[in-house]
Amino acid sequence: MSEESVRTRLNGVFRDVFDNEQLAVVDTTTANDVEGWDSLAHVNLIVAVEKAFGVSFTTKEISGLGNVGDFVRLIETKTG
Amino acid sequence: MAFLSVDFLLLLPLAVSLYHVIPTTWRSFCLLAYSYLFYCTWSLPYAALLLVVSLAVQRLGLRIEASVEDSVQKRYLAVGVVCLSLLLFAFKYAPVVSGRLSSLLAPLGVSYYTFKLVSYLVDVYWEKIPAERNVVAFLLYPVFFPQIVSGPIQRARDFLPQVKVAGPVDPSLIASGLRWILFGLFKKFVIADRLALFVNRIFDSPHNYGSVGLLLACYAFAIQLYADFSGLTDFAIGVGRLFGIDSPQNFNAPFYAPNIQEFWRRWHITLTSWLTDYVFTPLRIAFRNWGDAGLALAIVMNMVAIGVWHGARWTFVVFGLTNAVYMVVSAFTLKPRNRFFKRHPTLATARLIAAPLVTFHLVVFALVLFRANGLADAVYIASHVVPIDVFVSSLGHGRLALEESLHGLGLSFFQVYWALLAIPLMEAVQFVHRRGLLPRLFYARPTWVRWAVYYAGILVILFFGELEAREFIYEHF
Repeated sequence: MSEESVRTRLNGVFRDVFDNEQLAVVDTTTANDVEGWDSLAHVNLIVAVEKAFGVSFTTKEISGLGNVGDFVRLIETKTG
Repeated sequence: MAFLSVDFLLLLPLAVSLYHVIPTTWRSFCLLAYSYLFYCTWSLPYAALLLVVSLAVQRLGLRIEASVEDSVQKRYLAVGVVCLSLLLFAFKYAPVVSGRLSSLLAPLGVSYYTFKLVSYLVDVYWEKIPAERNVVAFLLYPVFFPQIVSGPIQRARDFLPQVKVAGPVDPSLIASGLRWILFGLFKKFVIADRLALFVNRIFDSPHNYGSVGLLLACYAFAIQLYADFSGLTDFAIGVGRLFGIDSPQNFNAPFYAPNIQEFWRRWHITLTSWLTDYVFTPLRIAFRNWGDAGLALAIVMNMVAIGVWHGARWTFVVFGLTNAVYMVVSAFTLKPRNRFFKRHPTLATARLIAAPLVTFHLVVFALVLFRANGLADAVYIASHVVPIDVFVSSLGHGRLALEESLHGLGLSFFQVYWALLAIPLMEAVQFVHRRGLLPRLFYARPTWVRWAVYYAGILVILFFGELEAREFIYEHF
């Protein structure tokens, strides 16, 4: 899956999870930039991403996520 | 040596002066020597234990980093986490569980240093930080004397880089350290220890008091605990800054939190953020496919861990469970509540005032469990605080009710009065600080004005503080 298509689909997942149709995330977006992205929402996001891309992450991989860009690269390695 | 004793306060200026005249390359070693000297005044064998544990954890960190296979890394991590947990359990819980309370005194700060070391190992495993090769810097991390007594639980990634910087300490950091110390002592002596006179008598024999006394004691304990623990943290932050080390904040206006999740994000921040990162999030991830039940289970386990961290007592377990119920209800209703108030903007304004009040009262109620000398006492207090009764009786003669209540305790209105006057002052200073107004309102004033305020602060503590030697509540955890 190309990086661009990962980004597009990931943005759709963010909009669903945070219930915000206007949301547009970029690689540098972090939890501080998105309203409602707390520790509870973070795991909902992980579950939604795993379902959307048909992948499974380890705790270590999840803990290493600093921003959306890290997410994109992790999904790419998993789906690639 | 007690953290807050005359000896400590007299030695501190000497220690700070020496620290600033020695070559900067010796500084981390100097801090390590101070920290172990301080620890040795409590117990030499336990100082040796801490040294051995710290060296072992440093080796484990290096092994984790050097291993290529994830399974090998995991094995080293497991060895470290299990051994540190056993150490904590052996000293903190085993004597209570086995009923031999007096046989073993827990090492000073064991709850704090084991948590620091566990987070270090996990962070190395998660590749958030490199394994530390500088032995002196690493050994200083768990034992650093301003933080050993009761935190804050600083993370290695924030602490270690500060120790390894060998340069002159910014004078403004030292000045701010002195201000933190002064404010911490004010909170402790003028507010916490004065309120303690009142709170302790009522909680030690709740059956002797009526609902007015019980209710006032519940409120007073919440404020006492806050002033005591945040005062100690302020003192610890201040002492750390005198040596150029910045420690994290532990409180951020918790009693103004609009919901219980937010309260726990603002109360004992370094403990709750530790538990969020190393207990709640891994549990939540492990249970992620169980839906809402998984979320509820992770919350319950996390909140019980917060309760039990304070000690092996049933009141702490029930304190954790009570907070777990609050959190589960709040977490599952937050979205619908937000939607409801979005549709009713008039009510949303009322919510701004009502939500922190409701949250504060939930916390005050839960803290009865935290303070009561056993579950039976907690149930007695909770069932005998009848708000309507109190409200009616205090409507006409609020001060009279308070005076009667204090008189029954053998305390004068004067003894607790100063604490009541000092609470608004504490809140005002913290408000100005949170809003970032201190530079404009205070630092910009002429030197003589600022020093007059500092001297006034010292005099207030000396004259109005309750200076009988008493320990900090959080020293025991």
